[in-house]
Amino acid sequence: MHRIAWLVLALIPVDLLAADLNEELLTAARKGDVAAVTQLLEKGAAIETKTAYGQTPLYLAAMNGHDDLVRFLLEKGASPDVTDTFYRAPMLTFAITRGHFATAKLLIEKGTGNPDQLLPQVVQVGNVELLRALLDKSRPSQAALDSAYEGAQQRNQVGVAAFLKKAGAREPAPPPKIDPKLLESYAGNYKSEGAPVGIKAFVRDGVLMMQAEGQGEFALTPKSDTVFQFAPAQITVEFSSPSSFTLRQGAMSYLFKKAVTQ
Amino acid sequence: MKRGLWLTAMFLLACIGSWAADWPQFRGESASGVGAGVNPPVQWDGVKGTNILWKTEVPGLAISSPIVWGDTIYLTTAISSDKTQKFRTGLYGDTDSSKDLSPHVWKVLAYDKKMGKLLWEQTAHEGVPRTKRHPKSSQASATPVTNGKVVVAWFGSEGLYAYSDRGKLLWKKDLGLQTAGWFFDPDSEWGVGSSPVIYRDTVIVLCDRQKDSFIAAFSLKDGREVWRTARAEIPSWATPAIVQGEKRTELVTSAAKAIRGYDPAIGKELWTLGPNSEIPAPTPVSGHGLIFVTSGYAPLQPIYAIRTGFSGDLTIRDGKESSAAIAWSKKAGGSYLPTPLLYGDLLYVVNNSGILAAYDAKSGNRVYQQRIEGGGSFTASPVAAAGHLYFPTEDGDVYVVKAGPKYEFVAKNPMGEPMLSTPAWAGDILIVRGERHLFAVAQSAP
Repeated sequence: MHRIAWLVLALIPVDLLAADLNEELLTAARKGDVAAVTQLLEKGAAIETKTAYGQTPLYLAAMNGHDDLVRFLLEKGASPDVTDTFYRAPMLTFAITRGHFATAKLLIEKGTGNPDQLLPQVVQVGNVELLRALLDKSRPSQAALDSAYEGAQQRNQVGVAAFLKKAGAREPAPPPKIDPKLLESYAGNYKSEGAPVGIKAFVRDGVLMMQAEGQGEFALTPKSDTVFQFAPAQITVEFSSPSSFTLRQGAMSYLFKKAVTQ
Repeated sequence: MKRGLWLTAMFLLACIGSWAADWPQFRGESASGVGAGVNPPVQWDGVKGTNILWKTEVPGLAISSPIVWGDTIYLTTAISSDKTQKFRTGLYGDTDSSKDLSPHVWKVLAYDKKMGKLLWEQTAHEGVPRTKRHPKSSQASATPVTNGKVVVAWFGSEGLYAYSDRGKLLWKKDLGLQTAGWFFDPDSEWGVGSSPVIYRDTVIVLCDRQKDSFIAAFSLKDGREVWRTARAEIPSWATPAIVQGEKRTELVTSAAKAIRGYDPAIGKELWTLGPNSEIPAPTPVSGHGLIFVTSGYAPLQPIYAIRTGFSGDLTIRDGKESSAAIAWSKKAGGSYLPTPLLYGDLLYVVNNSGILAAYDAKSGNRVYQQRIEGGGSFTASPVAAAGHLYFPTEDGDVYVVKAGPKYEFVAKNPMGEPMLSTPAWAGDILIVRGERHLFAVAQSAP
């Protein structure tokens, strides 16, 4: 009993010390301080320690565009395949959306992420160099390549579209004709437990349209009787019945159900 | 004797008149947002001057709201030496801070309610801001508070300042660096937003920041710290609410880790409730024996109707939506920035894009949901008076909607500049702060 008490007492300072070191490591990583990170790792801080939201030192360095530190941590073996617990986003997504393209390139060259999910993000920002790095490192599916190409064309991203074409993207097939009655059956107000806003679906001039609350409306291109796309934002909508659909955008997927009017 | 009675009656009427016209803090008495006017303006044009009693230019850039006591309007502002600064309006989700760290001057201003004339101004602080601001926020975002004798202004990292009603500095306090920003990346600084409130002879300030959060009460007389309670919290922006229940008075805060009730006299925590969304901004409002708390940063967008007088952990278990302490709750529908409005038997909740939902306050049943006219960007909180609801927008219009169980649009009133501040009522006069001007709107103004 006496010995256990001593053991507990001896352990507490070590745990506290480790916690402090890890906290310092996260702060240093956020600031991009390579020297401090080096020292803290040598003192025993954990390279995969996490914030309350699941961000590792590499994650923090990547989302803040600290290229030198990202390179250093990758060399030290830090995992680039970390997804945070709040937004459920990989570090590469933040690097891309915050415009840290050099950082994003480092991560892509490391081979992180699913190329089918990454391609729309890279195409969206229109950075050809990043696109080249992605296609050099991985091979997205033909469907993802075709969809990205269609989106680039619709956004008039001439350089990106040409690059995708050269990489094997095919010209989009003419949209199939959908029975107007089936199209009308999709109209209505939809809600999802996972998505913060509802979506209104309606038909205008024979085209299925959607509008999320507080956002602009967009026209969907049919791919089949049940699958529709809005290529510029890489949105795919798949109806499982006239009262529910799954909306996919990048890595995100939401099930929407038609709301019952009160 | 008879004359004595008349005098008493006259005195009471005078008191009621004065009380009714005062708007002492963010959203007025108890943060209700409800004005006592009987003939408020419904239609006006701030650009053409129709039904505008007066309009005056306000220096600087700030989203703090005007407050009113007697014939005086109090306002705070932060004047950047970079004169090109303005709000970045619209619906967007960027987390980055404004880049403006040029020298600023922080001021408290007092205006005459009837003419809009500047009565006095005091410089509280000068220097480079110690933290950055959100592009939609400002370096003077907290609304001042007054009891008619003392006016307290809270400028976050630049300090807490108390002035007499005539503008004499009574005391000031440095409450430390207020690092209020994105929970996910503390380098994205947004600035403070919670406004101080007065309870008895103290002013209460909520300091939820990246580290060492606390709530504290200071003596109105000399700034002495009366109590301080540490909070295991990250940054939050909601103003605390003083709620008078049947059994006791509660100080209610809405923050990311929990909604909490305190004893406002000593700062003792009475109850907690969760979950809440990660970036809480709307202020709790109360009525019908209930405290309504909303927040709306996805994915959690809760609305809670909390009964007063309970203690302990009030969190609802097992997927239920109500309990002894919680009259009703919803997992979705809470607003992100605008504070809800309890007016009559209905709780009105407007989201950032102008979708207005009305709920039966007692049952939580949704009565209607409707986009207000053309929608837009809604940051300021709505206010109400004489059967009408008023919604200022970043797009430069104040929408007026009839209160009641059926949505009825009344008017779209252009102001010619973005509005991110919540308006104040001064009796029948609506005091509106735009990006550059303060307007007094009144029915049949010349």
